[in-house]
Amino acid sequence: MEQFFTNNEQIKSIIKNINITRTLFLSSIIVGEEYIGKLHLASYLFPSATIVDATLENVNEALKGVDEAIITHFEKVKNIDNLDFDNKRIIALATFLGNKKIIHDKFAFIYQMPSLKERPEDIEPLAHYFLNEAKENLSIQSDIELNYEALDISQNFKSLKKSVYQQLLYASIESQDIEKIMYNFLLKKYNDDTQELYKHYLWLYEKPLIEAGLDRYGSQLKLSNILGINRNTLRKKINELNLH
Amino acid sequence: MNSTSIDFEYFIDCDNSPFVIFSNAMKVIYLNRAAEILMGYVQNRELYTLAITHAPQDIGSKTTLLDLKYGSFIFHSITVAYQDEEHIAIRLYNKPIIKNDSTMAQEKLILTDINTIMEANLTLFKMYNSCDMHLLTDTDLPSFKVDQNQLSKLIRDSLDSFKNNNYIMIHLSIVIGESIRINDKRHQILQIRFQSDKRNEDYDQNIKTLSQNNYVVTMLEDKYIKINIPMITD
Repeated sequence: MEQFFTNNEQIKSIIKNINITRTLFLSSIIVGEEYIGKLHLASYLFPSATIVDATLENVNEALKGVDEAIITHFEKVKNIDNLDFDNKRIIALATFLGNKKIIHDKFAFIYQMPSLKERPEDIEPLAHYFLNEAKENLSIQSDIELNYEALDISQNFKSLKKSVYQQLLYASIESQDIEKIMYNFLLKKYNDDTQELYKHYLWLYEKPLIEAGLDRYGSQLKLSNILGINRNTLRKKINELNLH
Repeated sequence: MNSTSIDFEYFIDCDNSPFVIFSNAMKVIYLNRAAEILMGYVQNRELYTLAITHAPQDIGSKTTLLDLKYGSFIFHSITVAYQDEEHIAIRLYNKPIIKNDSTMAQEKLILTDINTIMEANLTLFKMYNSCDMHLLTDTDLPSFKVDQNQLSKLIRDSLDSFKNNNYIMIHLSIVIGESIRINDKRHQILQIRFQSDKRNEDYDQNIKTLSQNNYVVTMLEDKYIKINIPMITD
């Protein structure tokens, strides 16, 4: 059975309520932003339910003979009035309510599922879940400290997962990996019209080098000594690279 | 024609319109079956005052057109009569009920524990509202057949119509002495009563429509809603 993790009280209440009604033949709808785990939650609560995509031409046809169904993308359903939910256990998932009157008439239970922004208590544990998943998928053994401030929740689970994978990759990468990445990137940039490619892409090396040094030491004087370049040269580079 | 040998009391007793005879001390001398049920919704004093107020000036009878509502009872007129100074009678005429042509497919009804549906609705309501809920129910209420989806919507809309109050009282009980007749079969009644200080009437039309489609009798008042549900078991 799938697991569904949350620390959020509102989602715990949704789970509690659906568990109370799980033996009843009711139509319910869960409404919330994209990528907040609506399908995951519905599948966790009704593992045997038939999953029907509402973008299908004929949802009624897909529901024929089905007692228990999860209808995804319900906001895209056509002819809502004609849908037959009689004696069926329906969990519909939608990103917005659309015509509230029709939704109100069609569904007995209407749940609002909060986005990740509205449930910050879930971000850290979810980030760790994705980190473990990333380590397993990418066969990376080493542990990293996640930078929580850098996690991206603008697209809920989708962007959170991406930012965790990125942090893991950035922390685990070796110089030979960077070399390969640079090679592949620059190879694509070569073509017959290429001019001054050296000058054009030198910043890819210089900018992170100087930026990291400035973050580490703060002082341009000290950094110029460590880098082994003249202080004026360093200042010029900082201006050129817009690193103020 | 000699009518003195006929026992009229039996026929009056069977009449659907309530009939009450009071003594001049406001004591109920006689009431028919319909009046017995009516007395569950209105005080003796109120009916007596009504009779006195609309009594004819001299011995005889007087019929007055007026709209009266006591619980689920709605009357369009009354007749008050007296033959002496000792007794006064009042008969209340039921307002004709529009026949409900909705056909509820009984085979689609599912044996249900009403407390489960109530609990789910209250949990959902509490998720989005902060008012205090006081539920008085009997966990041993027998299961009966309902359209679970429609009944849930009816409970949801009833709760929503009280959502701007500080509290809502909810009481589930079996109504004694009344029944709902469906297809010539009488069914016991389970009553859900919602009560608070005020009620939003925006939900009334929805509540009425949901009730009509399910043989549910709903009473909508300023401070309460009573939902009478037939306890269909077969």
